[in-house]
Formats: sequence, structure tokens, C-alpha cells
Amino acid sequence: MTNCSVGFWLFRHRQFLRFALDARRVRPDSLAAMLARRIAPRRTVVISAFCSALLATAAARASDVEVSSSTSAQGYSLRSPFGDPVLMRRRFVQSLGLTVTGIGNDDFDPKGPWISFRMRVRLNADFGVSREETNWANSPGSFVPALALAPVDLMYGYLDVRNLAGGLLSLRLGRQYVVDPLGWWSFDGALVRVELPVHVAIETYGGFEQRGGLPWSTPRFERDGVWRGDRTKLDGTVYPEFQQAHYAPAAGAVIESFSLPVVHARAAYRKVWNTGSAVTLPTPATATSLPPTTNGWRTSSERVGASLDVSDDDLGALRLGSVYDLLTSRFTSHYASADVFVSDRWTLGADADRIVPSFDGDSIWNWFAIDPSTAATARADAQLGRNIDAGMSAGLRWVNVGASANDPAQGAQGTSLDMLSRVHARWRPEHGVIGVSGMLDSGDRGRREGADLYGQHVFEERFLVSARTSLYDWRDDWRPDRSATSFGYVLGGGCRIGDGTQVMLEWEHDTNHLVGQRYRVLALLDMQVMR
Amino acid sequence: MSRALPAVIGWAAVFSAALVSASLGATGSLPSPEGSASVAATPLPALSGSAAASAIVPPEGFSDGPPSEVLVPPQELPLHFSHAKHASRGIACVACHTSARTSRTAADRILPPPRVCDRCHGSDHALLAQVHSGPSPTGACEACHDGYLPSDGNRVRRVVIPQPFLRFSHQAHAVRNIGCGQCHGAVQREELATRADLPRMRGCLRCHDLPDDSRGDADSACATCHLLATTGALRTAFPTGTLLPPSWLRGAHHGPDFARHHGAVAANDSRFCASCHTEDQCLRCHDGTLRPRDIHPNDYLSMHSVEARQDAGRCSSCHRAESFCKTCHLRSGVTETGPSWNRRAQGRFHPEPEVFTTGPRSSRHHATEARRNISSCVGCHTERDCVACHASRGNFGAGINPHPGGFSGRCSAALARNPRPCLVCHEADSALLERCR
Repeated sequence: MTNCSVGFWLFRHRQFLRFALDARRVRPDSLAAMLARRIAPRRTVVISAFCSALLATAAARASDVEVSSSTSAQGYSLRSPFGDPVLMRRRFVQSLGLTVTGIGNDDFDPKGPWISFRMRVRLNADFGVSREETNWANSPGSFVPALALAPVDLMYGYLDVRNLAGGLLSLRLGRQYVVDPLGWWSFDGALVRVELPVHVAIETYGGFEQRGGLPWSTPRFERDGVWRGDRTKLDGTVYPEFQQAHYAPAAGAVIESFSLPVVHARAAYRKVWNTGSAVTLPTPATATSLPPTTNGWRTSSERVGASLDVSDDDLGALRLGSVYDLLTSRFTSHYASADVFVSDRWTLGADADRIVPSFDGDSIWNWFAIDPSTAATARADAQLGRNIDAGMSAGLRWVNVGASANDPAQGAQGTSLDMLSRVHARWRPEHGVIGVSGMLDSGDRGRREGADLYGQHVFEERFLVSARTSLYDWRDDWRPDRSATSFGYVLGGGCRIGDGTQVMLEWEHDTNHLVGQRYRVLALLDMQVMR
Repeated sequence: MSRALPAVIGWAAVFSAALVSASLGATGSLPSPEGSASVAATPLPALSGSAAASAIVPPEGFSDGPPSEVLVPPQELPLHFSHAKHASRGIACVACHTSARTSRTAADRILPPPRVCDRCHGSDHALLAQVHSGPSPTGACEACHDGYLPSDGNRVRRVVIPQPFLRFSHQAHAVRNIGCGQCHGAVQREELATRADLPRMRGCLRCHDLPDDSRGDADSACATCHLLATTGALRTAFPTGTLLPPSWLRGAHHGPDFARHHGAVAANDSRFCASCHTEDQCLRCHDGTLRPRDIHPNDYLSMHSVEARQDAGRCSSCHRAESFCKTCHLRSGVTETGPSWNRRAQGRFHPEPEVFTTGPRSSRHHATEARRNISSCVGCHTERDCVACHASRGNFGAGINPHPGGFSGRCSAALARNPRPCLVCHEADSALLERCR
């Protein structure tokens, strides 16, 4: 949308606005008031920000602008393993994305700065959440900390500037992701990357980790082990172990190779601090006394990781990586993955990893005795025909459970062993796919086995039908009464409307003796407009 | 419904309606909605494609199979032709393929127009509705047009060469004195040239992937040849299918089970993934709200506890136990902590106390479970459940040491970096903490 303006936008949406006004029987000048009444203040801010960004960036001529929306609505029920309660999930999730590329580069200059802006906001509502569950004051017996009816978050939103200083420098500003051996992580701040002429790049970044309980944020990207969120409306004696979220400063540095044949390496360091007060005793001395707290900057996580890729077009690829946790002074992850191109059609591979769970620095669980979990898997991928491929894998996962430090005389508990296997095959004819997948996991804590058969067909280039049926059996060794066999099927259909709109509807029906019949309805609406 | 519902509906309605309106009213081609499609289903193919140019480098020595049918759709060539015979008469490629030196896009038709054939074969294609055959047998219609019958009159089967979804300039290569055979191989020894004579990506990279100083202007960026989506990433959804990387390309072959072992690829070089994928595609699963059925099959809700109990740590690539798992467990009454009304009917979830808690350590003791899979504990329990026994605060906690052997040797650093977990179980002035200081 190269000539976007407010007037153009309003003109384009005049029919919707007229419909909205007619439907509500309100005068145009009260539209804003109506929206203001019906939309919570925080969401108003998000919408305003989104529109402002859209209009401001679209004003740049020669920019490519894409607005996309993804909406899903699904309803299903979730029964407690004790039979009661039954949670009714009525989920409505809508995300809106804006991408503007080529900002300020009217006459495309490949050697000039390349500026783009991306953002996506999300509404994640569950109308199955009752009002009592989110309101401590009125219903303390039903209250669930950190539960919200319709939270809104900014999934990402950043300005990306590349190719500065003759291609040496690039930077990102805003909420962004970092994906590397240290994990999948999100922060608000700035990242600067310098690509030196010797195939080495240096990155450094700083800002604040995205944390649940803070505005427009989810807890997805913070370290586990601390129950944290917005408790500003809670009395200090209520759920003291539920901690108040505070801003978490973060900084990191990376050195990485680039544009080298065969080899790619990356070493990364990141530190995140916890700030503000944190309760130190989750059980106060009396029912009315406030729990003790500690304050100040303290380490949330501090880790260093390194990875190495070696690949050869004819032979295969090898990937290695390790992560060392400076907080707990131990390696928390080693992994290796290898692929061997046996022939044009066959690839053999192996994956291995060794993981020690680690938690936020505020968590007590970092300091419990924890034994590493090791998994090793071999796999094979085959291109069996022009449109047929298949894969299979099998392996082991084990944990050597050590002796108790408290009472070493009791000795180690031996090795906990799981066997893992998967098979998968699919045929992709011209207008669809038919596939089958199966799995078998078996170990000390139970067993799962089953298979899926699925298919999709597209006809007239705009209609899609899909089906999936599955049969699974599982044995829960800790809760034999929770063992079951399940049969389920999914029927779906969809179509494309216009050039950028896609609608889908799915019906899922599962049956097992634990829950009886379970149904799920899923409706999807995806749109991409304004280019 | 709660009071937030109207706001939510308003929020959604405004944008859905606006986007629907805009979508239906939009003109011009739009990108495939692949980027926002559900994880529950494969996206529909794009209906419109801003086609571009095609063609690339030498097939000799490669065993990569035919060119991608996604990028270079199958062609229909109902023709008889021998490059070998023509080449043996000393006819140069450009004598027939006259536009090969000047073509700048893959959409250009390099195939010689029939008037070029007329020059030697005596036929006359000046008016396609009234074609005249040549006087010699080589000028007869059936000499070139496969399946032609005189009874068909002036009708022959159509030659169909769909536009490839690539970017290519013959001119850019020709001006650098790159000969036809360097990319198309020994066509001069073949009969009819087909898609099989088109270059493969590995061939292109022979030049385009040379070190900077050697390759000159042969940029190795993906967008040199591939089309880009509006997002700046490679366009991978086409009417002809989804573009997937070949196996030899850094071992990133997207086989049927790639989703399960792509982690190392992404962790080690996410910029490589970003060549084709945007954040949205990662977020569909890693911060998603729809269950990917190739990872979590139907009825996974009923069976998820078995997998979590085997190794909950691996769930953390998509789920944070303290928020995603715990919130639902609190609501459903699985947890020790939580709303009292949910716990009304709660039975015991773990094995009986004399096995799980108070008895000697066994494979079913909670200490063993915590050591082997503490992440599964976090999905339900709060610190309060642990410190009741493991704290040593004088009048609080039973002082049962949960630390691993040798912990006292590194407790000093732990305390210095973050005293908070220490203070949960130990009093600030306790002798134990003093020793660590």
C-alpha cells in the first residue's frame, strides 16, 4: 500500500464504518465514544499504537506494507482427572501483524540501508474463564493467580535497520527475539551487529527481558521456576509464593562467523537480572503478617553457549552445541546432531543431547539435586519416490539417578530408561497430502503408542478438505486408572476468499473411557491485505 | 460472560471487519497466506503468483534429480527436435535462441519462434492460422509437431512452458561470457531439450558461492535467484506447492519428521532459517495457541501426563511450566496449592505417602522423581510444598537437605549471585549461610 493515508483508509473501509454505525444506531461523532466504552483502556492503547504504526509507516512511499490477521476460535472441555471440575475452554485468539519493508529507500539501492518494521499484537482470550477465577476480592476461594480473561501482548515489534556503513552495521530496536544455543528468548531493547571484513560478526544487545505480569507481555520467554505475575491487586498475605513481576534488565554479546563455506560457529553470552523485591518465605509466620522479602539486583540467569556447524554438500552435516550456566556453575546442555547423505534419496542421522534442567536465579530448584537426562536417537529419511518420503527414528533416553546427599547410605536408584521411536510417511500428490505417522514411547513412568492417518486435498485451487484419524493407547504406571485407549478423528474444510483471506473449520471428536466423548470445534480466519 | 467480553468482541470485530473489507476490496496480487496459516492444517496454495524469471546452471556431475516442480512447473513439449543434428551442422545456439543474449527475466520465452525454423525448413508460420509446410520432409508439420495428423488441418498440440518462479537474467550471464553449456550442459549432444537440461541450484552455487573475491558480481544471496515475499523472507508458497530445501543444503532437509529434530538447526544458525521463515512461523508452535497435531496428536490432553512424567524438561521448548502448565493445573484441581473449590473433590495424585514421601528411597519415591524429572514437579508445585520439609529455619522446615553432593563447595558463589533462594530455606544469620559467606 504505497499511497496509504488516513483518508484512503477511511474510504476503503467506509462500508464497514457505515455498517457499524447503522447497526449501533449511533451518530458518527459518537463512534469514538462507543469504542472507548467497549474497549478496555489497555487494548485501546494497543489498537492506537498499531494504527499509528500502520499509518506512519505506510506514509513512506515505495515501502511494501503488509497487514495480516490470524484469528482462531475454539471450544472444548477439559475434565479434571478427578472428574470435577470440568473446565470449559472458549478460546478466542486474534493476532494482527504489520510488516513494512523498504522504508526510506524509494529508489532501491542494494548497497544502501535496508529498513523495515515488523510488529504483531495478540489478544488471547478464554471466555471459559469465570469472573470468580480472576477476582480475589469477591471470590477468594476460586481465585487463580496469573489467570486473565483476555490478555493482550505485543509478540514482537521492532525496527530493523541493515546494511549501514557499507554493510558492516545493522541494528534492531524494539521487542525482538534471539534464537541461539541459549534458547528462544525475547527482550525489549536494542541489538547491534557488526560484520567485520574477516567473516566474523559481533553482536551486542541490551534491554529488558519480556516477563509475564508486565504490560503487553507473556511469561513464555522468562526462565522457569518462579511463579510470577501481576499481583498489584493482591494482599501481601495472599499466595505469597506468587511473586510480583519486575523489570528485568538483560544484556548479551555474541561472536559469530558468517559467509564462510563449510563452517559456522557462534558463541553467546547473556545475563539477566532480577530486580525489585521478592518474597523469601512463602509461608508467613502468621495469617496476617507480611512475608519477609529480599531486594536489589540479583542474577536471574547468566549463561554462555557455543555452537558449531560443519556441513558439506556431498557428505553431510554436523552440529554441536553446549551451554554452561554460570549461575549454577555447571553445563546445562550438550547436544549433537549429524546427517549423512548416503545417497540422493537416503539421509541417515543421529541426535544426542544431555540436559540438566535449570531455573530462574530466584528459584530454589536450581540447588536441588538434579540428574541430567540424556537422549540418543538414530534416524533415517528416505525419498522413496517423486512425491513420497518417509522417516523413522529410534533411540533411548536415560537418567542415572544418584544417591541422596542427605543419606548416601541409601545408594543410587539406578537408571531410568525410556525407549523412543517414530515412523512417518507421506505422499504428496499434486493437490494434497496423505500421510501416516506412528510412535511408541515406553519407559519407567509409562508407555504411549499409537498412529495417525491423515490427508488433505485442495481442489479448484481454493477449497480444502482434510481428515485425520488416530488411535492411541497409553499406560500410566503411576496412575494405572488413568491408562486408556483413545480413538479420535478430525474433519476439516476451508476455502480461500479473494486473494488473501482463508477460512477453515475443523471438528475434532475424541473418545476414551476417562473422559467419554470430547469434542473440539476450531474456526480459523487468516487474512493478508494491503501490499 | 465477564465484562471484558464486549471489549474483546469490539477489538476483534473492528479489525476482522476492517481486514475482511480491505481484503475483499484489495486489488493486485496478494501473497500467499502461508505466513499466517494455522498449524492445524497445511495452508492453501497461493492463487496468484508474481512470477519472475528462471534458469540456472550446469547439470553435469550432479545427481539432484529433475528441477523442482514447485519452481519450474512441468512443461508440455509435443515436439520433435534434435539439438545434436543442428549442432553437428555448426548451427550456434544463438542462431535459433536469438533472445538468449538479451533476456533479462525468467518470464521471457527463449524458445525460438517458428519463423526461425522457417528460414531453413521452408515452412511458413507467418500466419499461425494458416501455416504452410515446407517442400522437403523436414519441412512437414509432423517433422516437428509430435502427434500431428494431416487430418487435423492446421491444428497442433500446444507447447506449454509455465513461468518459473525464479529470478534470472540470461543477459547478465551472457555479457560475462558464460557459455550456454556452462549452465545447460552438453545440450548439443541431445535431442529435445527439456526441464532436465535446466541448471540446478548446486550448479548455480558453483559460481555464486565462491569466495567474495572470486565470484565478482555473482551475489550468493538467496534473493539473487529466488523470489521474496513481502516480509523480506524467501517466498516458499506457490500455486505449484511449497518450496522445501534440498537435503544437501546444510543438512536442513525438511523430511516428514523434521519438526522433531529441527532444534539444533535453529539454535545453531537461526539466520539461516530466517532466509525462508519469519517469526510468525516459529511462533505458531513455540508461542502458539493452536496445537500442532504432528507433535501433539488427537486427544493429547488425556495422555499428556504420561509424556510429562517421562521427561517434562523437553516440554519447555514451547511451554513454561510455571505459567502454562500450572495455571491449568490450578484450575483443574490437580495441585496442592490452588483454589479451594477446585480441591474439594481432590484425590491423591501421587503414590501413597509411605511410598512417595515418608518411606525409604525407591524408584517411586518423590526424591527420585525430583532428581530425574524436576520440571514435572514445577508444573504443579510451588516452593511452599518443598520448603515445608526441606527448609531449616529453626521453627520452620524439617531441615532435610535437598542439595547435591559437593554443594557446600560452590554455595558461596551461589549466595553471592543471588541470595534469594538461600533465604527461602535458611535464616539470614544462620550458621549454614555464614559458612557460605
